[in-house]
Amino acid sequence: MQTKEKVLEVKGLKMHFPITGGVFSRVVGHVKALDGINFDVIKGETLGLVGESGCGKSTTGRCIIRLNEPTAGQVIFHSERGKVDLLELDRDAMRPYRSEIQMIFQDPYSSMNPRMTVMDIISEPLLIHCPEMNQKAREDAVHYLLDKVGLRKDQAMRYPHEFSGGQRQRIGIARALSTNPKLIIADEPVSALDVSVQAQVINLMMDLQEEFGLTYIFIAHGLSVVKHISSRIAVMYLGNMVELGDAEQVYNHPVHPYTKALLSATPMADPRAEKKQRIILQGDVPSPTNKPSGCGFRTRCPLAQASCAEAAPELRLLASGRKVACPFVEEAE
Amino acid sequence: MSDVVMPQSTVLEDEQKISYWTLVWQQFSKNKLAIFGLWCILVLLAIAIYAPVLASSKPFYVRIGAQVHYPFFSSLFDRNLYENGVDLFFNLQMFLFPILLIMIFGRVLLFGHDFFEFGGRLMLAYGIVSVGFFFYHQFYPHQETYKDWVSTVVEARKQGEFVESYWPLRDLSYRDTNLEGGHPQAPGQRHMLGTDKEGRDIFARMVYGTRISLTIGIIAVSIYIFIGIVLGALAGFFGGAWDLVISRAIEIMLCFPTFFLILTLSALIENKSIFHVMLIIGFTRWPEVARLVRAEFLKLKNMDYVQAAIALGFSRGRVIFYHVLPNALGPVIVTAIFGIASSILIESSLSFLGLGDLSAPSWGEILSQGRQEFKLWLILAPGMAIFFLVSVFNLVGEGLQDAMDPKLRR
Repeated sequence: MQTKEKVLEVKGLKMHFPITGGVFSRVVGHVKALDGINFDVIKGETLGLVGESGCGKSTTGRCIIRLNEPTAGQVIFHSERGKVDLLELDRDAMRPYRSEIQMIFQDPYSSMNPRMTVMDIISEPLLIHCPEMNQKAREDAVHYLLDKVGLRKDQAMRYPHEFSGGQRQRIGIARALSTNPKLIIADEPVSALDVSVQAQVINLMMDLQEEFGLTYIFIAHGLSVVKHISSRIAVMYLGNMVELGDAEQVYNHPVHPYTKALLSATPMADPRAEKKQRIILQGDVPSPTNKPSGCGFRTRCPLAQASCAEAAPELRLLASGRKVACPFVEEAE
Repeated sequence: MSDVVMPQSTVLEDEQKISYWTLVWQQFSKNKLAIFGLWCILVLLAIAIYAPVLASSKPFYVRIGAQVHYPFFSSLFDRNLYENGVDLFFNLQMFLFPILLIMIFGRVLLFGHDFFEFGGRLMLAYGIVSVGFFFYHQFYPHQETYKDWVSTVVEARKQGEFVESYWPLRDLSYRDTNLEGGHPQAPGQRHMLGTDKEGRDIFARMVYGTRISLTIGIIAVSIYIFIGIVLGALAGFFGGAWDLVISRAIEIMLCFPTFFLILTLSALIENKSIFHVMLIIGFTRWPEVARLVRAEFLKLKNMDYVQAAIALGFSRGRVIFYHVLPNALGPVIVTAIFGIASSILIESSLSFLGLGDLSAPSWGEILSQGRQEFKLWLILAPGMAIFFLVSVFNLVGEGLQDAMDPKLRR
């Protein structure tokens, strides 16, 4: 277990978006989208990142690939050229690493330039990152990738709007694969798709992972999708990570009160199954501009105590190897 | 099962690459009114280019006794006859434009090429040749001594010499004055549309005025579209200080009533030429375009495909020119077409108020004389022409707007 090779280490990642107001655009506050999160990504695994809307899971993905510039923290990427903190690189120094970390976007309808053919969309990254390839080699590569994601060669000359949502997501996957990346950040890749297509796309991603030895960070807002693909699951709430552990453990035996509530809200497709005890949380998620002191979850937590307001709980390691950000829970083994 | 799939896939493999503009054209050609407008513009363009064939005091061919002359062709690039640079440009098009049409239709009809595939390069070459020639003539003007061929031919006939001559449709240039029989003169045998107060033929001036109007429209709009795209793109894509400065500049410019700003500027310039008018219109109307482009860039910058392009490590230039700009251009082109119509109106208004280029045969200038002299033929012809030109450009603009709207497509 301990010998596993890390691909990415995220340390104390903070993303505070400034809120400006007034005539001179003074900063009047911050949206604390990420408030110091730490996690590692291990080579070959799929790390599922779950949480409700606005908890910062997409921001985490965007910060790693630097579509947002984080306020503080480190994103250490282990490449063949050695360890490097991605956040310290400038645009040009970042470019070679961009080919090793790729992203799959949520909305397959807006993630492709409507003026470009599929051929252009998939071959453009090759043009930038593999300048030694000629036209023919790029076309062959595109045909190979289309075949890998289950599309036909002759569809390469079409435009994105001629495809269905599931097919477009396959094109998005082919584009992400084109630079031969090590790590792929999938930002809710199936939540815009039909349920029947979701399974196909997820299975495709799993097949590709096996074939190309990919590592995924899989962002989703529902645990059921993540459970199928992930080897580990990280649960986020209000810009913090509350629980991180093996998928089976987190899914079947959640320990953090928020994880328990989130899991109990997962709909069951079996009408004869026993009615689960739903945990209904009181109140709403606090605003990320004005977070409660200490633990972010204390305003809604059934276990909250006075000490929760004093300091934000750190992730602590439990006996089974998982981490949880609550001092009061223990594994019910 | 495989028998069913096979024919379908072979059909798909024959599929040609269809560009976005081909799709727009397919949609546009369904709009009858817009196609009518496009034909009207082509006819106006033909009138503008072949204006000397319709009205010029130089005969194509003259034979007096044993001497043969071709004054029409030798005088085409004569700076003394056509003192306006616009005329030189259009006279060149009398030869270049047919070549361009042959190259386009030859390739499309004979070889079945897609115009939108090769059109860009061809138009670029065409533009470079035209503009190059224009500037060459600005610096090395060709000048001839003036010779009145109309009276020369009449004199020769009187003296009983053998005379053979072929003339343009009307043997009157737009600057020739005919002071016999009063001026302004009502429409009659010699002057189809009458003359103005200086005895110049209105028909000739109307024909050459088409050149002025089209040039004003296209060049003024090109100037402000270019400024608008550059500033709007900087503000929208880079944001921050760029956006702050450019947005404030746009707001300041929009605070001025544009037409009064144009009036003031044109009152400041002495000895205006038609190019000054174009520059004035170009430099005062960019804020609308800049605001439009900025809004498009702000919207597109956050589209996933632009984010994907950034995540893939493409350079800023590539992201802007390949991913953002082509998608932001649609509304800009529609604005440009409408802008041509409104620029023509502005020029006419300036000339009407006596603030335009007084030497250029502009429609507004004729209209202005109509106001002073209060003669019907001075008002009707240019008024109808301006109305017609503005209407057809608006028809085409609307057709294009509908064709480029992806929601209306099939």
